[in-house]
Parts: sequence; structure tokens; C-alpha cells
Amino acid sequence: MRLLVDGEWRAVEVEPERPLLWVLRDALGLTGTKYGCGIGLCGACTVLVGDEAVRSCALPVSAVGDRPVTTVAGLARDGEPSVVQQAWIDLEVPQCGYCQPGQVLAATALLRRNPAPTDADIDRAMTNLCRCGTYGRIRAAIHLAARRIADGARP
Amino acid sequence: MTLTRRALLGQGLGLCLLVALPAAASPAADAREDRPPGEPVDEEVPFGAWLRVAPDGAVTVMLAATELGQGVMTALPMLVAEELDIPLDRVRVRFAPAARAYRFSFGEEGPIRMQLTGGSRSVAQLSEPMRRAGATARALLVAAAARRWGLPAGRLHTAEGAVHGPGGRRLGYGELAAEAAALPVPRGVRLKPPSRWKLLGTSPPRLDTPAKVLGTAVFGIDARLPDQLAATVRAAPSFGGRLRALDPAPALAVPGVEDVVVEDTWFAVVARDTWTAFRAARALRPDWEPGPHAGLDTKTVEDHLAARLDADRGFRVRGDGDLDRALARAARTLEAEYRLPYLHHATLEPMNATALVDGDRAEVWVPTQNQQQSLTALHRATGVPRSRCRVHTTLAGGGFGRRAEVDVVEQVGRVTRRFPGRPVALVWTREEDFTHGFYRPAVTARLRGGVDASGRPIAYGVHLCGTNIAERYVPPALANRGPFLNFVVEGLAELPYALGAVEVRFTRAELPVPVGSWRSVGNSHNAVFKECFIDELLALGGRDPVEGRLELLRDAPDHARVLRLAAETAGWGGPGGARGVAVHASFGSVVATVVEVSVEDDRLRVERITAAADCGPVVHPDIVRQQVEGGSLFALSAALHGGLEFRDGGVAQDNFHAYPVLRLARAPAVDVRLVRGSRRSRGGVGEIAVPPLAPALLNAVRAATGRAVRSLPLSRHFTV
Ligand code: FES
Ligand code: FES
Repeated sequence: MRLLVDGEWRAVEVEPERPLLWVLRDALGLTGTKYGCGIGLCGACTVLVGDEAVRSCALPVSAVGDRPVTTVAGLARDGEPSVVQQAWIDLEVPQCGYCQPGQVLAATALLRRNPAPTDADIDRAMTNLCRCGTYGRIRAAIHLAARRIADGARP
Repeated sequence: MTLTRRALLGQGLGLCLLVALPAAASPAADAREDRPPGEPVDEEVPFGAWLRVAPDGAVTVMLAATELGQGVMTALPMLVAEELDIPLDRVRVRFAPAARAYRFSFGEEGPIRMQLTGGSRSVAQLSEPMRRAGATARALLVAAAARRWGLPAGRLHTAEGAVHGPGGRRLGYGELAAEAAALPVPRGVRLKPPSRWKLLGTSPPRLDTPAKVLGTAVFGIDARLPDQLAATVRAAPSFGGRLRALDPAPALAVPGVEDVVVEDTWFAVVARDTWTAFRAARALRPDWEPGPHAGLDTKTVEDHLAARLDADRGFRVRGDGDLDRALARAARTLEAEYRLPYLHHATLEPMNATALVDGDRAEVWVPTQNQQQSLTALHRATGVPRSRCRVHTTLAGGGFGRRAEVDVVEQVGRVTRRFPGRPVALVWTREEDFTHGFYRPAVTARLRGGVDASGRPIAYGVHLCGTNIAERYVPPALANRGPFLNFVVEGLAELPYALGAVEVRFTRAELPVPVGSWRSVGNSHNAVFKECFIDELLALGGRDPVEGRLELLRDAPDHARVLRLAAETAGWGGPGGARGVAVHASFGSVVATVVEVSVEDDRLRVERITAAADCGPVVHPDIVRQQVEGGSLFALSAALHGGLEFRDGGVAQDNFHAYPVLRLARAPAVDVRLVRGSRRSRGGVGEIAVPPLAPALLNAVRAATGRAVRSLPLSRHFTV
């Protein structure tokens, strides 16, 4: 089977029912996508399929088709962090960091859909868990990225 | 009261502590230890155990503590960089291997040293050795330059990673390293006075942030070795249960499965990748023998604690004055029972470890808070001599005390020794992680108190019952008297209020639920008993919670200061929702927290949190703010939702649907203030915001509803 991951077509030999998460982590070595709960509850495994944030632990790889998959490793452009990643860096969002790839991707999907989200929009969209309690900085970083997008940056 | 407490974490027996020796600080001393302090790579020149200088001038700092999110990967190198006069971005870090050279002190608790990240002590206790390492290396580099130039060292100075001399002379540290390291180590180098600090007390970018945002950070679960196998385990679902029988055939029939490893109380499925191992483990139908506690459920636990409190007067931990006389004299009295549940750590990265046993050596890559005991576990599980065992610490996706336990190292060692030469990456499912923790003990407390005719609290008695986690490390008879009681009474035994009569009693619970350290340990429950009941007594006497506390804190000026700062910042007494307050000292620091809530019908919303902290001199203020923000929300999550339930002798919740944790939509803003001009010495940071949160929240709920809620989680009383 072929998958378009982070802009590259990759061939993988896996069972069709294998969740995308484990294809990324084990078959493709893309360990930026994390395992947290395995049943769609925590968001640590969030990736983009097209422009949509998807919990890859609950998505059989065969359901991806030829839609492009973006992991945290595919967000940078020309080696520069994306606008969301840069906001995360500037506001020092991470603590342990384990949830952050998923948070960054969930925020990216939100900002692509809605480049100027309100707090209520953020509340609805950002359902990924963070045990370290970085939620306040996540919210602030999304607003910062939104301001930069308003100034012309691409989400 | 504080003798050994957290020092015992991770030791099989308290008695082992007696053989701990002071840390080595020179290469010669390192060589005497049972293992090298980490092999320098490439051309690095070692300066003692803590530093290496590369030919290009980059400095590598060896970290004795694990990065769990609390910022040691930045704060510890800052201490070195300050003394060494090198920009922080020229500093690299590496986690130190398990070695005697990297054991560090428990501070006031004497000569005990452990390589264990716990007790909020890493920066407080390592700041002296790290600064000294930087200053010593600097002195050696200056001496080497002085010899080269034939000038007295006094005419040279250091800046930006180089030694500078008259006439614009300059030699980078990299050029001097080999010569410098060969010179005799000076004794008694002087550390920079705080007035000359340029870096300490500022907030440079954290060194771990970019990798964590770009997704390149390597956590334990991301360890990848050539040709590695994957494994997952299932352990007996009930406490004290065993594996009676297991037919491995259904797992072995799954393509990609290599083996099923059967042990006494657990089994492992080994496969070519993690998902295959998960799937194959699900296919098995183990026959578990439930063991002696099969009947245990949630009610058994609550009933047991109540019955023990009824039956036993308790061991008197503290007694000032005569409580019964004071109560008899009081104008009004109050009794209350508070009940707090078992809690899980629920680190977002599940338990995992990767190991390799090859010939006569064993290695483990693990996100551990406890390098020292990981080494012992690896040695015991594999039979490889200690001197040939290596522990490689990875980044950890949260710790909160759970990773002070080395159960997963033991397991991976047992599995891996069957696959000589092949690494095995053991990853627990989330379900295994929830049901096989070392939980914060459930504690029930009965309180009695009274106020005098003017409304001033004059009597305070508390009798608590729960499992003392010291029983993990020493026999019950030793654990439940004297200094080992600190695990369970810390924070109460040091009640700071000037009350006439104070009594603290403890009764031991006899429950089979495994317990361990949970961020802030005994303080996590005792701050509730202390701060909620004082609030109730102040209300009984018609006193304001802030003013009333300040009256009682006349001998605790640091408490009073953070309390005033938090109250002012939160607009105490002003317009807004109902507020509650608590102040609590732990790990050498003091934090006051104000929580503002709104309650409508049975809907509870936490609107705002304000926390003021005094941690003494701060290395990196923004990291302290992060820890106070995060610690407050971690504690809020537990107070709103946290509470283990038991069924058939085991833990009933196995994933986040059954044990919910706080999400962003319900996370209020946390406004953090740090006291200026602190008079304290350097205190801990990672756990200090946890204790005052729950009592401040409960006090706010009482302010909002007029009703004291005396058990957690709040989800059992309100829609949260
Ligand atoms: S691992 Fe996919 S949502 Fe938790
Ligand atoms: S930063 Fe640790 S779980 Fe989010």
C-alpha cells in the first residue's frame, strides 16, 4: 500500500486494519506521533489527514486512501518551524512535551479552518489532553499564531 | 521530622542508605567508583564528572536529574554557564548514566545521596555542585591560558566561552581544554556573588523546547535500536493475583509474534512491532488466580478507613497543649470528616523501557526518575553484574512520581534476557498503565476544633488514617513511628498557625492497594485537612479567611507574605465570583493560592486561579511560572475528577473515559506571582503548587454554596 506522508509517497507492507498511528511509528519510523491511549481519547496521536485533525490510533490505515497525511515532522517549511510551531516556541508552551506534537497539529487544523478563533472556538477544537497543564500557554500561542496569520503568515 | 523520607524512595531497604557516600567531583574519584561516569564521546575532554569541553569549545553538562517537564535540562546548565562565562546556547546536555558520582543530596536530611529525581530537590541540591563544577573548570582554563601566555592569571578574564588577556589576546575554551584538564584541580574556588550574576534569575529560552515542538525529541517510547523487538505485558488484574495458566497458542498464531513469556504474576507478548504485540496480547485468555483480595471494592476501602479511625486512637505525631481541655473551654466547637481518594499519575507517556542483553552486558533506555534503582532492577532481572549494566535516561512524558518506580525495568529485563543480542522495547498499553500504578493513598481524616468567645481558633486536632508509603521501604513497625511517618503527615505536622492546642494523630490502614509518591506526596492530602478545616474554624468564628489566617501566621512571615500577595492579586474581597484561599509550605517553598468559582444549580465552574510563590532565589523565573501554572492545573484535574474505583480486587478504571482528566475548555487562567526580595534559601519548585489548590477550591465552593464539601473528587458532588 502507498501513503502520502509529509509530502512523500511511501510504500508500506501492513495489514489494512492496522491503525495509522502504528504505521507511522513502526513502519515509517515517524516517532513524533505519540501513543497515549489507543482509543481516541487523548489526542497524543493527532495528525492531519488533508487539513483535518485526526486521531491516528483510531484510523485504520486503509481508510487514509490517497489523502495526504501530515505529522509534526512535516510542518516545517524550508527548515523553518511553521507559524504555529514558532508561536509554541516563543511562548514556551511545552513542559514534558509529550502531548505537544498532537496539540500543535490540532491547533494547525483549527487555524487553517478558522484563522481568527475566539476562546470559545479554541475550547471546542482543542480537546487533546495535557497532563502537565500547559493549557493556558496553548491558548495564548494559538492567539499569537492567529495574529501572525492576520499579518500574512501561512498556517 | 524529616530525616530520611524521600531518600528512601527507590531503595529496597532503608538500611542500604548507610552505605551511600558523598559524590565524587574529580576524575580520580570517579575512577574509584563501580562504573565510569559516562564515557566522553569524540574528542571531549572531561572536567570531573559534570562537564566535558569539546575542541570546538562546546561544553557538555551531565544531568544527574531527569527532564520531566520541570526544566532541569535548562536550569542545571544555567548554573554551570553562569560560573563558566559561556553563553547558554553553547551548552549541550546529556543525561548522566547511573553512577555513584551522580547521586545527590537530600539537603537537610544528612548524608543521604541518591540518583533519583524527586522531592523537588534537583535544582536546589545540585546548584552548588553545578556552580562549583563551572567555577573549577573556569579556573583551570584560566590557569592554562596563563601558562601559555606566561602571564599571571590575575591579568586574565573570561567571557563568551574564551579566556581574554591584555592586548586583545584570546583563547577559546576548546583550544585550552586538554591542557587545562591536566592541571591540578584548585581547591576552594570562589563562586560568583549574586550581584555579578548575568544569567541566573533571567529566563532564557528552554533548551528542550524546539525539539519538543518540532517533534524530534526522543522519549523512552521512541527509543529505536537496530533489529529491535517489541513487547507488551499483562499483569494480574487484582492485587496479589497470580497467573495460574496461559495458553499461548492464540498469540503465537498472530503473524509477527515471536514468543510469549510467562512469569509468576504477569506475561509478555514479544512481537516484531508494538501493535502486533498489543493485538496478540488481546487474543489471549489468561487464567488469573484472583488472590487474597478478590473481594475488594471502592466501598471496602472507605469502610476500612472509617473502621480503623473508630477502633484506634492513633499514634500521636504532634501535641501542643491539651486539645481536650482547649475544646472544653472553647466558645464554639466543630467536628468534620474529610475523605480523599486514591489517585493515579496518568503520565501521558505510558510506562515503557527498552533493553538489550548482549553477552555479559545489559543496557536499558528508560524514561526513569530513578537511575539508581533502575540499575539494580536491571542487574537483578538479567543476572548481569552491576558493573556491566548501563542505564540510559531518555526524556520522560511526565513523571509525577510514577517513574520513581522501576517495575517496568524489572519486566523488560526479564523479557530481554531471553533474546540475547536483540533489543526489546516494552510498551504498556494505557489500560495496563491505569490498572498497575503505585497510587496516591486514600486518606480519611477526622478533625476537631474550636474558637474562643472572640471567634479566634484556639484548638485544632486531626486524626488521619491511610497507608504510609514508607511501608514500601521499611517494615511497618519502623515506618509508622518516628521520621518515616513524615511520608504521611508532612505538611500537617508543621502546621504554621499560632493555635493554643494542636494535635496530630495517625492510624495505619491495612489495604492491599499499591501506593507510591504522587506529586507533593503527603502534602497532597494534608494541605486539604489543614487548610479546609482552618477555613471552617475561621468561618465559625466569623473571621475572614485571609485576615483570620494572617492573625494566626504571626510566627510565619513568609506564609503571610505570599498570602497577602495572592489575595491582593486576586482582588480578594472585591467584586467577582466566590473565592477560596489556601497557603501551604512544601519542599522549602511557600505557595498561596486563590481560586474563584461560580456555582449554578449543580454546575461548578472554576473561573480563575491566582498563585503566589516564595521559592527563595530563583534560577529561571519563567520555568517557575510554568511549574506553578501546570502544578495548579494538575491538582485541579485531580480535585475535579480524580478518584480510583475498585472492583473484584483491582482498579476498575482502565482509560481516560473512566478516569477523566482536565481538558483545555475547563482549564482556567492561572495568574502566577513570585515574591520579590525573598528571605528564604533556594526551595523546590516542581510540586509546590499542588497542595494549596484543592483546599482553596473546596473553600471557594463553601463560599459559593454555604455548604462544606468534604470529599473529593468534586465530580461526585457537582457537574464539573
Ligand atoms: S493515542 Fe490516539 S487519542 Fe490517545
Ligand atoms: S506537556 Fe506534558 S503532557 Fe502536555
